Amino acid sequence: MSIFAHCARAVCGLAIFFSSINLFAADLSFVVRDQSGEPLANAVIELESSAHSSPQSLPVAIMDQVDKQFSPSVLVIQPGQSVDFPNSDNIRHHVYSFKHSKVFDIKLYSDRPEQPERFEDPGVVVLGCNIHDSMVGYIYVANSNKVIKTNADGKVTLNGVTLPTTFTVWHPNQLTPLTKKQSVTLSEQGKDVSINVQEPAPRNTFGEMFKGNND
Amino acid sequence: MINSLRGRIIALCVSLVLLTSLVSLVSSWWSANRFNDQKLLEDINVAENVFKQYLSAKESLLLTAAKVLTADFGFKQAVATQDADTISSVLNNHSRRINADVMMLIDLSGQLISANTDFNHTPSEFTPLMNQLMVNADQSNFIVLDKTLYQVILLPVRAPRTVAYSLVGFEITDLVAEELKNLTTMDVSFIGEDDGVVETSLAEQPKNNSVLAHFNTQTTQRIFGEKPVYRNRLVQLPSLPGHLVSVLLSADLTHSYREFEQLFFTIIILAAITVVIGVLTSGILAKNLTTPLSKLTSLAQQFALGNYKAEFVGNKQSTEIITLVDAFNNMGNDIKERERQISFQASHDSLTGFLTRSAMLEAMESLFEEGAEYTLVAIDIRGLRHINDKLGPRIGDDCLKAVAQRIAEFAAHSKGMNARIGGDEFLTILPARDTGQFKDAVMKMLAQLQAGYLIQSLNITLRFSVGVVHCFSQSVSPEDLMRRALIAVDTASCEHKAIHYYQEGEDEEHLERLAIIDELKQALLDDDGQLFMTYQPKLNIKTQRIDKVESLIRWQRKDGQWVSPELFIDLAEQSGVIVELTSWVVKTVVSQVAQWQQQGITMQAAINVSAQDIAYPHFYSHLAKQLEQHNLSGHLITIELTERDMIENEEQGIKALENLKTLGVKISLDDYGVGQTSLGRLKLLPIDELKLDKCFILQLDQSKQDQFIVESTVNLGHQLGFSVVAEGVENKPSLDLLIDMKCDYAQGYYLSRPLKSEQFLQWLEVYNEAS
Repeated sequence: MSIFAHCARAVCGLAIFFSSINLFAADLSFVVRDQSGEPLANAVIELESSAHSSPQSLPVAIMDQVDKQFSPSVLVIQPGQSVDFPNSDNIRHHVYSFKHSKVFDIKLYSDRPEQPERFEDPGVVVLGCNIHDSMVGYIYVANSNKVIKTNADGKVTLNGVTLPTTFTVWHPNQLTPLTKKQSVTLSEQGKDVSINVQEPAPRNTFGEMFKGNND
Repeated sequence: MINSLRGRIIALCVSLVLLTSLVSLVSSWWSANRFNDQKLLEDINVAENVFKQYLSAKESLLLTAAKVLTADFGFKQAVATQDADTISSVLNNHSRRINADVMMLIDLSGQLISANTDFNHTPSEFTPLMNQLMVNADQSNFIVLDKTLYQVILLPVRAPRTVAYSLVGFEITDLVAEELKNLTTMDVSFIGEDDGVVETSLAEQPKNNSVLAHFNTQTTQRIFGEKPVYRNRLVQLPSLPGHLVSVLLSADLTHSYREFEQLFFTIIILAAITVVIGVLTSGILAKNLTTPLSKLTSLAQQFALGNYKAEFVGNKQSTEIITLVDAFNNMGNDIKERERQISFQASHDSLTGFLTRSAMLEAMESLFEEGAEYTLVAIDIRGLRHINDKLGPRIGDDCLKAVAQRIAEFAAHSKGMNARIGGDEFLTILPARDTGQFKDAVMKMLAQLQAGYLIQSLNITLRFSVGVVHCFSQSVSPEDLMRRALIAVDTASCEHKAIHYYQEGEDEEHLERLAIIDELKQALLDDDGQLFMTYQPKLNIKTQRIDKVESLIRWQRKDGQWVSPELFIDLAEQSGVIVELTSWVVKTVVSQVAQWQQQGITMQAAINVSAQDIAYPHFYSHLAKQLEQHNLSGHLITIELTERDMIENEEQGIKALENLKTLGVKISLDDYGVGQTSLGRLKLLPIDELKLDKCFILQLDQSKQDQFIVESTVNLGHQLGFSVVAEGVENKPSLDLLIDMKCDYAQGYYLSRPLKSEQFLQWLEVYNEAS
């Protein structure tokens, strides 16, 4: 092997090193897609961080109910943050959760509950309405404050990350159990993240067998 | 097979009935079978539909119950507690609410969380089963849990996402099968073959057979053989792979078999009754048809016996039979009429209406039996043949009719006892009278008959021969009497007399002549020397030697009595035996001449032949055969024919003679001078010799006239190229005259009488020595 060759290799390695140095604390944008390549909205990306926001400084999050749907369908909050469940419909709702860390139900109310619910432990809380089975909502209690949801195009931008970076992905329709967060490592720009999802079965599986619709 | 009409009609009717019954039996069998099959199929279809409806209703019930349960918020809250005991008590509570037999909670991976009752299960079998149920979660399924068959449904428990599955099910037991049997009238068996579970409505489970095999193979003994008891349909129920459950619907066929057998026997009995009725009615029909037939048969038999008055006895017949009876009666009348005509024709002459010979005999027979005396007259029209030939047979017939009419008129009082017994011969019976009187009567009748006849504007005079015989007593039979009358009329005819009265003995003479003919025939047949030839020498005047003889036949009976040659030759000619006689003569003479020739004596011989012989076609061949047989030259034989024989059938006779001459034989004209041969005819005849009749020779020396005739005839004969023979030379002066007249041959008693062959030879020897 010639001296020249050794020199060339050394130059190359140096260039890669510098380039990574140059990219440090840059913004990382990517799209979360499902297994068929369709962009997924409401996917939650969470980076590890030891920094926690002080609960007192956290505002009360709003989980609204509009047209017999939770809005937003996925709400991301910090531990200790309170969530208010205002009712924007002109009918009553009975919002409940059986999440063992946070069991609650707000029985038949309209307008606004008496007080917001406070969520201490990180995790996913599934919300339902006892009188409207089609209403499903999710409250994502994050571990860190570096957490973000994909927009309607499935796109997300992480600010000030160094490559390679590792984060978790969660989506309400993911095939893996709802409590699991998938860990993903991205080492370069322009890569998309892909996860397997499935629409939950509609509530009236035996609809044709029932003579009427009880929704 | 069956020959009587009656039998055939019955057989036809019975076979028609049988055929109809058979066809209806087969068609009802076929349609009943088809109907049964179709009904059975429909029943099974209905049963299947009922069963499906039942299952569907049950499933619906199950679903409704389970859905309400799993949607219950309290239940969801209890599940969310994840406390097994709490959940178990909740399941128990809810299963009682909806009357479910089984209720379980299963987590998303198929593990049992809790159940309403304790049951044996091993997770390694249970979990895969639940996973399969989850795949088929959109419907109820039949599964086997802990050796029990359940209809189950798996529903997710959502809070609000699926957190667990709830299994709700009903046990399928024999009671369910029985309930279904009551609904469908069929045996229902649930069969989980893979799990070895069977629930059936069958009262007693078969001991040594599986339920499926029982329904498939059970048979029952019917009249048409062994038949399956059940018709089955296997319906697959919604179940899991590897744990298939099906239901068997089994229709019991025994009832339909019984119904069909009843139908079959009903048709058989009906057919039997119909056959009996068919036999009876066709028997009556056949009787109605055959009775008049047998009556007609006996009527025809009566007709055959000649009883045409027989009548058909019977009441109320069909028009066809009446027509037939009328036809029979008409036939009988027609036959009767025709029989009368035929019997009249048989006994009556068609031309004159007189009786025939046999009818006349019958009539005379009755007179004979009465013992009546009468005169039988036979009448013969002379020369009717000439009238027929010259004026035509119609005139002849009219003559016969006219004569018959006159006979009938004359004999009007004798009850029409007139007969025509031959072409021109009549018989009539006159009443018996004294001899003189009946002769007058006969004369009177003859006078009437002989009066002129006007026939088809021709005046015709007829001549008659009449024979009369008087019947004095019963000693003479009608047949003999008739024969005697005919003999008398023949005699009158032969003797050219108008009337001949039968004389006693004429009949016997007649019979004797018949006997002679018979004897002659026998003598010819026997050829035992009764008949023999004699030979009379003929002197050749020029050479003064005997070189010719005339052969003459003689007959001496066995008893030594001589029969006159004139008599028996005449009889032979009359009876036709002459042909055989001449044939015998030719044979004998030719053989004799040949014998002489062998002895060194060349002698010509003359044979007398009649016209019948010449006309007989085999005469020529017979003569030729004899000559050839004896190797004799024809010129040694001379055939002698009389003038009379020559005249009959002249043209044919001349032809026959010319034919004979080809054999070399000579022809001699016998008895020349007394017959009717004109000189003109003489020159045409193919003869070689004239033989002067002996009436010119017997007294030649004393009659100048005879001498002139003989001399001129000799000259004439010589001029025509004939030799001339004189017979009947009785003395020396006559012979001398003949020598002077240059006659060629002389024959007569002066030389010798006819002699037998040996005597002739002796005489010839003496004669030759003397000269």
